[in-house]
Amino acid sequence: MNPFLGALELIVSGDREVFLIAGTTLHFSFWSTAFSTLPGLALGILLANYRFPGRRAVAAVVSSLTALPTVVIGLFVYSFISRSGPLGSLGWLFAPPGVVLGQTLLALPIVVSLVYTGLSKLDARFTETLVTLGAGRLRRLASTLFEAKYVLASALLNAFGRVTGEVGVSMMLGGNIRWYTRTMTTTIALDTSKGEFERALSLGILLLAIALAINALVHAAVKHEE
Amino acid sequence: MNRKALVLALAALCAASAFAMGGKEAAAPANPRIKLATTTSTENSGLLGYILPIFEAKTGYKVDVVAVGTGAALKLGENGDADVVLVHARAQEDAFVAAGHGVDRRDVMYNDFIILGPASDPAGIGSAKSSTEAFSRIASAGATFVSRGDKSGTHVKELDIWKAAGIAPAGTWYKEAGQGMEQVILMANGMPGYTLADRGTWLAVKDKTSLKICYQGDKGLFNPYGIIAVNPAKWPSANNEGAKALIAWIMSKEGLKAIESFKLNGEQLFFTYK
Amino acid sequence: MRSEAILSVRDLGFSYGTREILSIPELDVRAGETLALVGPNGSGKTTLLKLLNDLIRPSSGSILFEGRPAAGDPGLRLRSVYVHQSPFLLAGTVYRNVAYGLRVRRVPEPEIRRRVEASLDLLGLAGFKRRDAKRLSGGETQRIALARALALEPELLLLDEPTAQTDRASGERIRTVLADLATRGGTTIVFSSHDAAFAEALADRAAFLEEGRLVRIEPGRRRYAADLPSQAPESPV
Repeated sequence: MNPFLGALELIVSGDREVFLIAGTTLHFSFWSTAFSTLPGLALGILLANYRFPGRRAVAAVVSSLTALPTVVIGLFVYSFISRSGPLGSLGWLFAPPGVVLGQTLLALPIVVSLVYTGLSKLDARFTETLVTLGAGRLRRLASTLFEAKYVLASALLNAFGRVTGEVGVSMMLGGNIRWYTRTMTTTIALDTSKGEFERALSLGILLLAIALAINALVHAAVKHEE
Repeated sequence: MNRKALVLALAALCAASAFAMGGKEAAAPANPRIKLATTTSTENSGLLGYILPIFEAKTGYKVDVVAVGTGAALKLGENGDADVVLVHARAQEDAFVAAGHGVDRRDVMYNDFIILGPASDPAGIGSAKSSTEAFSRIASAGATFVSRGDKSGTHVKELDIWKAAGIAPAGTWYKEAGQGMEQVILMANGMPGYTLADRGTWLAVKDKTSLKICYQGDKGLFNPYGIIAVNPAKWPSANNEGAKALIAWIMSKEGLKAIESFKLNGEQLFFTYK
Repeated sequence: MRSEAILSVRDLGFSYGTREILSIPELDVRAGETLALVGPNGSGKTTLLKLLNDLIRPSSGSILFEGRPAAGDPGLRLRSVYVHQSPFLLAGTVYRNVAYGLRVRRVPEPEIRRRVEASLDLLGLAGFKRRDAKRLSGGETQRIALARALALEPELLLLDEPTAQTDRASGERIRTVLADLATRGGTTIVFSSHDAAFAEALADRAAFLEEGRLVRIEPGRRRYAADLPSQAPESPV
């Protein structure tokens, strides 16, 4: 059978392992995006709204961290959560918390950077308007989040998309353990290495669908902003 | 798209994400997860997927298999990142135990290595008298050879044979892939070239290649697997109870029988010492 | 008419890097007067208005609000409001925009509703409460920004080119409202305009700016309201 047709059949027939793997992937991505949200917003807002020495340098570092290869993050986290590392007693290596930690670190600079650039693009009149209407610091912060809600949503969606599609962190920190830490991308890597393309293709199609859905949402958010 | 649709879509995404992972079966032992670091040859041949569910159903343990090369598997044990290792590189296994990283090493099973090559066998190794001589012929013919190059058990075995042949392999004919066994076989198929492979992996992927076994049967190609528990004195956090239970079951009549009865395309892959 | 100064400018300088934007040795805004700032683009009108609202701080010299330094003064912040030449409306409904400053001041919600409706009515925007603030025409935006400022019942109203960039109907409406406000008294209005005729008609006094300097102050005529046709045919709504 044509591997592409086989892949479609796996999806249409609702193959249990394929969908379990997809579920695991989304589960990891959801939590890593969730954990990167609060610190990501805080740092992004700090960079965009407050002047402090070294602000530009920090912004430059954060934006270059968005291009950090996943295997570098994987390696770094690995050395910390290995039993012989400083956080070894947590037992997170080759377990879901390890993957989520690595993916959170992967998502964080993306969230910070997109929130920062999004807020920087807010109209200069916006803050002046809040000030002249009498809003204090806290209300200005809340109003800024409200004003930029679509920017923030698209930052989180971008981060979600990135962690869903990454393979380095999942492979190194999750160990590609079946029924446990095996994700869509690690399965694709494994199946391809074994020369078994049907399941890899079916997951590839699902990943593509997820990417398209996220892209559509981001597009909608950005369009709404304009 | 309007705002309501966006919110709805986000909610749907969250709901999909929150869908639980499942896979947790009968729970009984205090620490039910055993981390087994092993080689790609045992996992990807399907052996572990065949025998471990029997063990899990019987004991309530859940074995998490991390499949890497032998060198990496031993390193995971050394660093306490695995509870038990199942590997094939006898000299390194002994060194691992001697250094105090592991305890309770047992010989589990064996299969053998084979030398794969193009059907035309351009270096003519089919008539060699030993694996050493076969390697020498490949080197002197300058025929393409794909090496694992990843410190796996197969790679260690390959280097041992080159050493016995008195050859330091280098040159454009010698390709270090740094990949798993299946991938290396597929690369050898594509080039085409020779490679050293374990029989189990070969049987699992041979339908996808036009390679053939060019040389086999030499005593020097014997491939024994050992299982070792990570030393609980060194890593108190390791699941030593689980490791002991797994080793005991694998070495039991039932475990050994399960290994013997595992077949791929009608052929037995691993043999026990019973 | 002699009156106490609500704002006093003393030796004011404002620079962007080494470029001097504004330099005014002395200027008083009298309580209750309508003061026009007249001058071509780039003469420093916007900068002066923002300085008077403490949205930006002087590079040198000082601005006093009722005799005290204006910088950081909470009284100035709550009793005055500035409206941009091209106003920015916050995301959400028109209602949210007009209610925003009242919510900041913790005005009770029924009173907020009353004031929002009253100021929208005044600007001819009665049906606009639930409209999306980001989807309005330039003239509507300008009128809502003025309603947003007037809802606060400010003692000091700072307006940057209030009738520039609007459609004719919106411009007429804004002129009428400002003329009424100036005639009624009680509100100090400082507004900028590059249209000297309009400025002098509406204002008690007109201050002429050129290249960041105050060149002269002339008395205005304040008879604009009387000149207006009472029922303009193109009057909006």
